[in-house]
Amino acid sequence: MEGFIDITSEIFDSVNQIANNKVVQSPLFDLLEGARAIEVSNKKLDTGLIELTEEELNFNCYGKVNIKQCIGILNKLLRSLMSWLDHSSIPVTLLSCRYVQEVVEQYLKTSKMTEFGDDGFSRILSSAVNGVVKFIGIMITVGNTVLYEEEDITTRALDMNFLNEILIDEVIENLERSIKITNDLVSADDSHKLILTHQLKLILSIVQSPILFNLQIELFQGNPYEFFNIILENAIDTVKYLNKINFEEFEKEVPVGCFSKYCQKKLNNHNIPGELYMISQESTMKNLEDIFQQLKSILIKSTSLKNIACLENWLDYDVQLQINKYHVITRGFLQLYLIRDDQSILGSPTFKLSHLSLELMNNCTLANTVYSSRNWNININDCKKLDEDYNKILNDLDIIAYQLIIIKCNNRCRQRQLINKNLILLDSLQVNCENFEISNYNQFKINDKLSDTEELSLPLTSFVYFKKLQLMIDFLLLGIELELYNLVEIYSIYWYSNYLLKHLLNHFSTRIITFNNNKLVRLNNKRKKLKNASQKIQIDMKRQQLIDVIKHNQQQLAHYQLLYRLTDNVTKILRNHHIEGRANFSEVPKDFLINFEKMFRLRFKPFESIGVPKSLTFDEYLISLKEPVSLDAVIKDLESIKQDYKFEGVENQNQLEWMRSLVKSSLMYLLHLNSDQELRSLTEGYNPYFPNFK
Amino acid sequence: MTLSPDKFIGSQLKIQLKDKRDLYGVLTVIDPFGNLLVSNVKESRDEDVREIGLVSVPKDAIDKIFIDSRYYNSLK
Repeated sequence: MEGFIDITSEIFDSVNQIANNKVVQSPLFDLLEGARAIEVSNKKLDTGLIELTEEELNFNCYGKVNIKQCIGILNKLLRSLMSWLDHSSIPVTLLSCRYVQEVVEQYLKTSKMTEFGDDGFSRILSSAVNGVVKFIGIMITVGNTVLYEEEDITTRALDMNFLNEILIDEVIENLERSIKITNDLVSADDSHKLILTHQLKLILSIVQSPILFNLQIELFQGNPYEFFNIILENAIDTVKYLNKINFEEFEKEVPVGCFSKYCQKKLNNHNIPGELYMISQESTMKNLEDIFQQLKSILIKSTSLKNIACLENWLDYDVQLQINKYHVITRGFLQLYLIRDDQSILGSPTFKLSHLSLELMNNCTLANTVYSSRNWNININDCKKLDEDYNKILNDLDIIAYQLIIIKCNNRCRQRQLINKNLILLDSLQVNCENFEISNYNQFKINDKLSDTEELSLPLTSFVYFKKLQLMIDFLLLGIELELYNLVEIYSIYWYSNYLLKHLLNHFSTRIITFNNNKLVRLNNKRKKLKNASQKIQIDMKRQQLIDVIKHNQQQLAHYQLLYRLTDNVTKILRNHHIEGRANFSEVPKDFLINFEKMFRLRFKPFESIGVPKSLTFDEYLISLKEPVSLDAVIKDLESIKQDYKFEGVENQNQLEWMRSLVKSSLMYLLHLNSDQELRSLTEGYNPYFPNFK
Repeated sequence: MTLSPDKFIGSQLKIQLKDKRDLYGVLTVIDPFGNLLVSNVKESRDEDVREIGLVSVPKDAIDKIFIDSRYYNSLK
């Protein structure tokens, strides 16, 4: 103990000076942080007390393995990989494998991949473990880039480096060589060789799967990217093959001590001890097949998009609404695939974020306007200034387009949080757009007429307002899907959503559709006057663009009309419950610490700072609760929904299913109207925004 | 004369546990019962050394506490 002195008794004596049972702490330390501390000498909290068997302590990664052991180890490794991504962490899954730990520990020392021996099986095992470790590293990077730690993915990497600097090609080469070695083995049973080959092929496919976010898709060109599709199809076939194998006999052969809590006790570890976690063989294979099927579906759908309307529908119905059905690997890859570091969409060399935002606006209000052509027809100096101002607005719109994509790729819970964050951004952009467009009209008479009247069309403002309303409605209804609201709040949510939907429909029909129809009429009239064939072709292209936009408008309109009618009827049904005493939407239960008015204001606080539409007050809410309800009218409207919506022309399957689930919800509420029992709870319905009332 | 406990806050300590492990870290909190909260802890057992972060050390688990003598002298 040279240089150290024993202060045991001095420290313990010093605490007698502490008055009032207070703790003495560093001024830099937040005591709340202390909750994260690991308590030594407590078996439940101290990884240093983990007991390991002799076999676990003395496990030798460099001992020879036979083919059955190799198969068993690889199977457990694949199960561990899927277990990690099933809401678990690396130390209790993948790092519990001593081969994985050896690879990452050796990598810190040598910066090279590890070989467990020179013989065939050792080389095969090495390439497979290195492959899995490389994929862990990729997933950690994906997680750090686009996922939420401890929410989508939990790493706890114990300060290890998972072959981050090793080129993926090197890992792939090793795996391909191992597949060849396995095929050439003369000493092994053919059936075992076949299983091992399939396992290696599966690991190879897993390692190759990040190719997705390096593909460069030419949007709307129908390039199917056949080579990656083949990789995914082969992967699906491989999983199906392995799913038929009974791995129990192979797992029994796995050397004792190969999977243990060794890493938890021996590596840098700020966590408490955890039991090893391994999902079933069945779940492992199902998850693996799901991942490859999902990636395949993303590839096929995204490469076969015909136009911006299809892209919008795909983003809305296949990405945003389905995101929680995707495996975390798919979710991470999807965001990286959709928008790249260079702001390209799907890696397209020609379609960047700025093109996307312009196309989104064209597909709503901007097509064939003075703002889309930028033909200002004013003097050069004014023109320069106007271009500068317009570019600023377009830059802000690019930010919005980026945010819209990010919202869609996040889990549903984060989607709601991100929507909330972006509402203010949209609201202020709406004001800027309005000022810009009105000033352009006042100064230079730059304008497209909304209709036959002199009213300004304000296409930029109109687009932003529409997007804002969409997000506000999503924000409220998503809370129902996420079960955020108390039963007492449900009426207020539908009542408010209905109010927003009314504004959205009004905006849609009196401005967006009117404007687009008017533009089409003007083009038709212009075409009639033309004699030049090439000019007619140009006009025809513009007409087709507008026809596509109007078709897309109509589909969106149908969706929002349906949502409006459902929220309207649900509001009335719930109000009727309130009036007849089967529910109480004006008072919170007695055990609540907050009164209803405060709860109401807190719930709708995100809308308080929004300029248009004006936010609804608690007084208006109370008045609405007293409005009489005609149940006959509700029944009549719910009954007519099925007849009114046929969804002809809807090509996207998930969009169709979503719309059908809304129609089914109307039938569900019809059935509910037959019950006159007290409203007790919300249960799953056909559509996540419209639960069943019990 | 015994130093007051706040003098030891921020000191680099070596804590010998009764189970023969050594902990090296910075004393961050001490309570009236002699339980310690130590940050940036390295745990050492035989030849193995590893980082375990923020650690709460109950008084009962402690065998001995050491401090660098030069640093100790500067506290007085």
